[in-house]
Amino acid sequence: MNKATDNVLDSIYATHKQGLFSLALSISGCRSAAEDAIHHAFSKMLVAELGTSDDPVAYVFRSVRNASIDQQRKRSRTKRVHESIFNGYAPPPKSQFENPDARVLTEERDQILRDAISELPESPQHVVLLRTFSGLTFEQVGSILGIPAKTAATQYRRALMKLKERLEDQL
Amino acid sequence: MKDENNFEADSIENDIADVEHLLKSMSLKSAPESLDRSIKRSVDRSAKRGGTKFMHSWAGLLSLATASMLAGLLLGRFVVPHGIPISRSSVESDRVGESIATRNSTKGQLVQSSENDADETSLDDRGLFFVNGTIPVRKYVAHSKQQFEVVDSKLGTKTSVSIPVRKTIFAPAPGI
Repeated sequence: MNKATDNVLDSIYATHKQGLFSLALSISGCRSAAEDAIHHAFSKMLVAELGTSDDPVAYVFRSVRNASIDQQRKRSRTKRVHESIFNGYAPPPKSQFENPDARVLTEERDQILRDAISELPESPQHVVLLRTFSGLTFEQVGSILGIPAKTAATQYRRALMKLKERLEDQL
Repeated sequence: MKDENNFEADSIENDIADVEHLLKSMSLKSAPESLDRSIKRSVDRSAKRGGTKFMHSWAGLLSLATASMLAGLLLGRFVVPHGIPISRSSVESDRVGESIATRNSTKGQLVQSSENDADETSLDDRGLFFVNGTIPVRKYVAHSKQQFEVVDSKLGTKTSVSIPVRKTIFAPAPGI
């Protein structure tokens, strides 16, 4: 592995560590397992060459996803609670909510969204995660998940409409 | 009719933008600092190795395999670098009897888990060392997650925990 590639991986990690961690956590459902999967993926990438034809960001995300899936398969025998990628509701500063009703509504809305995202099928869930929280393009998302960019875009729109419906139904 | 269609399309786009905005305002669990440290260590180590592609060369693989087999013979088990689990007994005995406090405030002693299920183990190559300044050995550190039970020191109840265990393994240097 040459130094330039080391630097590329280092800078991709620095920019996308939150997105990589959320993706790994959504697959493994456990913080330490997600951490291990990312470390394992980077260890492997550091001894391999980055392909010139591939988008390096997509390559890193894909490697972390594959490492998480591999790890999840090995761990599937053990019963575990699936940990959410979201933090619990943290009340915003008091000044933001003069009205206590608004506070309750926001809390409820966030809970509905968290539940609705976790109930999405795996592929649309990952599309939403990669697009919204990591800011990736549909081409990159498609390359990571092994689907065409247009399919990723369609899944994203449908998933968001589904989330919108859930919010309207329950609020 | 055309206006109606446009209105509907605009409305869908607005809905999507609204949900997108809501999602972006949600707080995600942040990546632990220990991950930053471990990635930095790996990158630094890789940078130190420079242009060598030891792992990718046949000679490298052969030497590593030989070292692993010798280490296996020395330690009474078969050790293979990266990904393939080493025997559970090599790691679990290290922490049994240790006093720990779990995140849910259970304090007590670690006992071997009845599940006895070792998670995947990875082997880190920590480079070449010289015993007594002359005998070259290669140092590996095996990292693993292991199921244990914690016996609560007050209540006597058992709680299952998965904690990291590590073991340092020395093997004859490749080619020796």
